[in-house]
Amino acid sequence: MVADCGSATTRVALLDLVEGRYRFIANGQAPSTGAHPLSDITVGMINAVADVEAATGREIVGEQGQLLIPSQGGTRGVDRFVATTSAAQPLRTVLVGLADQLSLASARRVALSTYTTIEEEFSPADGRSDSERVQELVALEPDVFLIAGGTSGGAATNVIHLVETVSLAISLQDKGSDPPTVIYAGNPVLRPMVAEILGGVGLRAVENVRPDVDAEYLDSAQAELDLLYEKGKLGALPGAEQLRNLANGALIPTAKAFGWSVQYLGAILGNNVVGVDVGSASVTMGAVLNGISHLAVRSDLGIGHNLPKLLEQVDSQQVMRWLPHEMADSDLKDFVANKALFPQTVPVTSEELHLELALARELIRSTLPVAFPSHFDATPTGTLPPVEMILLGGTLLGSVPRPGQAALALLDALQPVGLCMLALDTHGLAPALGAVAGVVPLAAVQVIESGAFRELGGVVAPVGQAKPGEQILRLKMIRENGSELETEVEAGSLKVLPLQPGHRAELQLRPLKRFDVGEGPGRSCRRSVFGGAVGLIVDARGRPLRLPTDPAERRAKTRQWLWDVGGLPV
Amino acid sequence: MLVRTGQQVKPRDIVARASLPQPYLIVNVAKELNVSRDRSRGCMLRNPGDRVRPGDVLAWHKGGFRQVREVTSPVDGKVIAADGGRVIIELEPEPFELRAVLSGTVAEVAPGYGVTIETPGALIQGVWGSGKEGYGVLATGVKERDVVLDARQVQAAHRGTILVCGAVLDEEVLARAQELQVRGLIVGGIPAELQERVCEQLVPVVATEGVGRAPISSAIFDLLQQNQGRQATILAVLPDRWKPSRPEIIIPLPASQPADSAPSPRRALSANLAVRVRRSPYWGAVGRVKEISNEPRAVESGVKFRGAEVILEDGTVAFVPNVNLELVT
Repeated sequence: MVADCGSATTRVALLDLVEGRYRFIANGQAPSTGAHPLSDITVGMINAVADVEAATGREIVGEQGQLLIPSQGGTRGVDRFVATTSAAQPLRTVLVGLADQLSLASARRVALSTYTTIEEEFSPADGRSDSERVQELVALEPDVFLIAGGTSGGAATNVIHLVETVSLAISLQDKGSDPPTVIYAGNPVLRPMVAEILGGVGLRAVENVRPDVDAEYLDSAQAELDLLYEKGKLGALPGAEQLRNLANGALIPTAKAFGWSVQYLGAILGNNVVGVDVGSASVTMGAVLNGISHLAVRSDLGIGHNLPKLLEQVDSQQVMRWLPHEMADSDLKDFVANKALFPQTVPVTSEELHLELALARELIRSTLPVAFPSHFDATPTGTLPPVEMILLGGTLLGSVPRPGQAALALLDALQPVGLCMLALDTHGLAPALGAVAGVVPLAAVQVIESGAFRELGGVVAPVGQAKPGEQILRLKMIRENGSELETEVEAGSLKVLPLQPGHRAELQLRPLKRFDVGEGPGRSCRRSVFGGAVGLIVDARGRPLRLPTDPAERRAKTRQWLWDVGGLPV
Repeated sequence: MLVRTGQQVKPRDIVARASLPQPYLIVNVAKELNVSRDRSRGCMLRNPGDRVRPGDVLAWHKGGFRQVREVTSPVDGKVIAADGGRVIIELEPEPFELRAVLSGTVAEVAPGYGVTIETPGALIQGVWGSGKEGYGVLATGVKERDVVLDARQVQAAHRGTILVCGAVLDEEVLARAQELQVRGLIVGGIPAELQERVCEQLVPVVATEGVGRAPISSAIFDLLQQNQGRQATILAVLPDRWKPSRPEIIIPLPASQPADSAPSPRRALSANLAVRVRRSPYWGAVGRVKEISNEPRAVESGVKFRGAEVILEDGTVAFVPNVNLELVT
């Protein structure tokens, strides 16, 4: 049994051996209960397990409301329990550094690696007086000060001054509040002085995040922050101890486990993979790019609790551009505020489903540039680097009635280029499988291989310059049964070619007008693709995607694209 | 703490006094005297705990040519630290009086924190609050729960009252209420665009249903109407997902019988229970559960959910996902 206890929704799934191989059997979900009034995260988990019991006939919860571990006979209990959670409070972090584009930028990347919120940033150039800095720092009462700055053996005076300011603020904090921890990730030569200034404050000295102007080393600081989160915040979640005991001592942050799952996929495919998980209170992006793993958690954004924060970062028009229907600006703002008040509620009308998917697009788009900045900036179109697979997760996206709706949301938000495969985590298994990989690695691999994720289909996204309607690609698809399909693709179009889930086909791609399908401008190629619930999607709408400026025309276009991918009822 | 357990209190009674912490001021003595940090130690004339007034000398230094430099305090306050080349002054603390806001009996005194006041009465939990609190006589400005109060209807007679304003808060009503010193406003919904402004006003506002336009649910509206003219307390707590408190309206009532115990939050949804719908297309509607559906059913959007058949007040029977329902007691 695997469980992922989110901020709004708890999802569980049962994995079992079928003919000698691990498979996904059934899942269940229920509102999470880590917050008031129930204040016990295990209640929601047990409620979700009831779904699995109903679906399988297996008795998993005992008469006292406890999970039956280990299993008793063939139809009672489970052998292992693995749990992940994102329901705990994030670490409230204050970043202190010397330069905005150097040490502070690295500190930001450290903070993005786990559930943290950046409460404020301080630097010598922030325009504040010492009094103002101290005043703000005292009022913020953060859990963690992350201090970076100074290359190894470099700047000293400014770093020491910042440390003194932090030390002073800590000494003035309300004595009744929990003392903060200071992570010092700056010039290592200064560590003894920093320790002396901070005195009795909990200090963790880690490797310099910016040992050189051109070098960045984040692992050590990230590991320390991770540890603080797991020990402090995760442990303080009501019911976490019980959950941890059930899971043999391992309660894993959802984002971390999701990142492991993406790494696993990357290892299985031997190629670049990106995963996106849109949760109620956070958006997580994991990736394996050129053999290097990345993980970014936006704990300030989400499709539920943290939805209003999105509108602080993007204009409401940015959201509404993805809607196939008209909507008043005030209605959007009201909707967003209500969704934050009732994050567990679900869309009943088509309009609200499309609206939530539009919001999800912007949540992903807001996360992308900070998740992989070096890769993101490097691409000529400002989009995602070429990847073999994109995995999409989260309660909203995993439950859409038409797979085309999720596929289109993903294409709009990430705008992949070249050839890739889209997969949807409909059962909420990705974090759990990442966690399972640490306990029963074979189970994780076999469940993934058995089709744990719903394949939406392959995508061909040519990149280049052409006028709408001009032919840019000749495509021939040869299916396994020998049947062939030949088509010409026009710039600006979105096409779906029928290719069933699990079916393979050979693609012959001949780009025109120097368009690039991943092999270089104008270069033809042959590639194998798999089908999916949507089919083979040929997205020739251009990168970056440009939408019509006229609202009515734009809505018509959005509706057309939804229709093209099967996202509207027939 | 100024009260003791068992004491009767009225809303205006002060139950505790405190000093609110004020900003700190850092005076860089070493820099102003042009001396090193170490040397500045001998220049200090003030110690932690000393009270200072504007113009009081904090430190001095005798330089060459018998030149004396002084650093003076620019503010009233208390010296917190005088070391490391700096003098830190905490500005004069602001006195604060904590009022009971509610009639009742002090059930518990938590030194340094507050008191718990107990009263028999009616409790209405809202959804959104503006972050203020108040008390006054309950008045309903509207006859129907789904109409919107016009600013012209807010009159001098409403001064000092907690006014029920109907389905949505109007900007002009807010201004008029502020002008007439209305003690609180109760509405069904608050427009998102007005939230920030409402929080800046002194008058507390509680929205019973959510954000946008929403008729006050009939159960709440009936209760408010029945208790017109009674003293009530409005605790317009701002929603915070990490804190258990919700915005509330408390109407103390004579205790004719022991209060019902609070319903268990673990109570499961079942037939005949009164519910409120939390999402479109029946947002804010109140009804009674007819039947629980064990199998997930597709709703209009095509998504499948577990839910319940609910008989709404107008007789409509609607299938509503469980997670979009809230129990009403």
